[in-house]
Amino acid sequence: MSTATAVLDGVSKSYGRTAALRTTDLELGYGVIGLLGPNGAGKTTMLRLVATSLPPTTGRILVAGHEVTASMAARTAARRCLGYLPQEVVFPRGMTAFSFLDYVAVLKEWQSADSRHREVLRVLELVKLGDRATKRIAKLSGGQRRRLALAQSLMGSPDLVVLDEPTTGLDPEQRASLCGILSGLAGTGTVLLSTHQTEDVAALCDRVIVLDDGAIRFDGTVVDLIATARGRVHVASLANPGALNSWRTGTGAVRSVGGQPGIDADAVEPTVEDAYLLLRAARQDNEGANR
Amino acid sequence: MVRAGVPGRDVAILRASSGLHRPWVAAISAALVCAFLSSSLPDHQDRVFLLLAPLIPVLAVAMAYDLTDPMRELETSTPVSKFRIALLRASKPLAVAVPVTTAIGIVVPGLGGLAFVWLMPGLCLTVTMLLLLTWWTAWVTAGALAAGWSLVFGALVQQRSLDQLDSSGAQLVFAAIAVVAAAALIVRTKSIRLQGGY
Repeated sequence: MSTATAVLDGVSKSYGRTAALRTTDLELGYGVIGLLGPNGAGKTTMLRLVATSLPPTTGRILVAGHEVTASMAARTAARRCLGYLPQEVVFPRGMTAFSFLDYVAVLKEWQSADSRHREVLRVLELVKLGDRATKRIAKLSGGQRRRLALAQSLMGSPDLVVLDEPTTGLDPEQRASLCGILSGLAGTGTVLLSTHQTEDVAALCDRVIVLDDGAIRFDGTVVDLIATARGRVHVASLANPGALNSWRTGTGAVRSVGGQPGIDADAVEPTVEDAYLLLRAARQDNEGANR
Repeated sequence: MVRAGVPGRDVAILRASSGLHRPWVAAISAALVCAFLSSSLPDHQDRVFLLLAPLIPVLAVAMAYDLTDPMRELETSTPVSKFRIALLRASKPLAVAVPVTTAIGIVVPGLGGLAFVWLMPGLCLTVTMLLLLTWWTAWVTAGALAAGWSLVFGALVQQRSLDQLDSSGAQLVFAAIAVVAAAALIVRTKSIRLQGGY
């Protein structure tokens, strides 16, 4: 029996003639899984499909063993096991941080007011907003609102947490704090997050999935992703001819990603970002060759 | 509201709906458009009023139910019954649409007793809408009901029997349809779990 928290079996999603996500098979197990990809790659579509916010065009989706595409009852059962942070959360007007979370707790079927309020206070403390509970949301800063939106997704300690760009708007300290929260969750469940911050992936994720043009281009560990770029990132006095990206570093040497290394070039350890850029470039080269 | 016996979780939903002004505004705007058209077409004011007035609560429910909700995406992925949310939210614009439209019927000269005639067809359409919403999306349901009501209305005009709407027989038919639809709605909501919708 599969131990995956979520399974996508032949899942695709199209909007009219546009394929947002091409036919995809995927199993998501315990840990923090990062989705990387350019804008329009299909990241948000994949997250919304897993979060049962969007029906697939084809295929089956299972969340915590419930086949969400089979019946409404299964979908409801799956929704009891997941927390979802959309890319943009619009807060109801005039609410305080506490009353917003209390509302989400109602949506998550917390019946008893006492246990609901305890859980609201727990998640507020978790995202370090305990002292802002009675503040109106309109008075909170952008980072605090983002943490409040994150708090609602953590309510009830769900098996699967789906986060669409959770680090947007957070300062470095808040991002570090978020890493702590998410790594804590990863021990008992699955966290699927999308981000444009490759350093978040390097710092947080056990597994990384690179999406581009609605298809998975890479699926493996962060170490494996970095390994694909080994020997292709150099520092030298001049940029590598044909480099994807090159810039002068603080030491005065030029760091080049890809391209032909010159005679004085030294290979350096690549980063997730280097590997991601090279992966993207390889796909574009393949497309160009096929045309 | 809690003191009045409304469950705490329903109060939380209603409180969160306070930002949903669009259904409210739509209901009032539709009532005003209805009043304007009724008063600016003196030869056909009864027809215009009776055609449009029963559709105002239908519009209010459609707006409350669907895409105007800024938290829709977040709510969709939770297990709570979306139908329950919709019912609670629909109560707010309905509480505005019904008295405002009735008041307009009273205020616009020449409508006389018609100010109350629309209430039963309006109730019938609204309850039928809530029932159909358990299968269809809000705008498909609203469109189908508006088309259906227009056909019935057109047939009555064609047969020059629009005044029959005011008869106790016609009012009883609308009441009977509303009761049957309400009963079906109760059965439907109890027999299936509606919260799984997208």
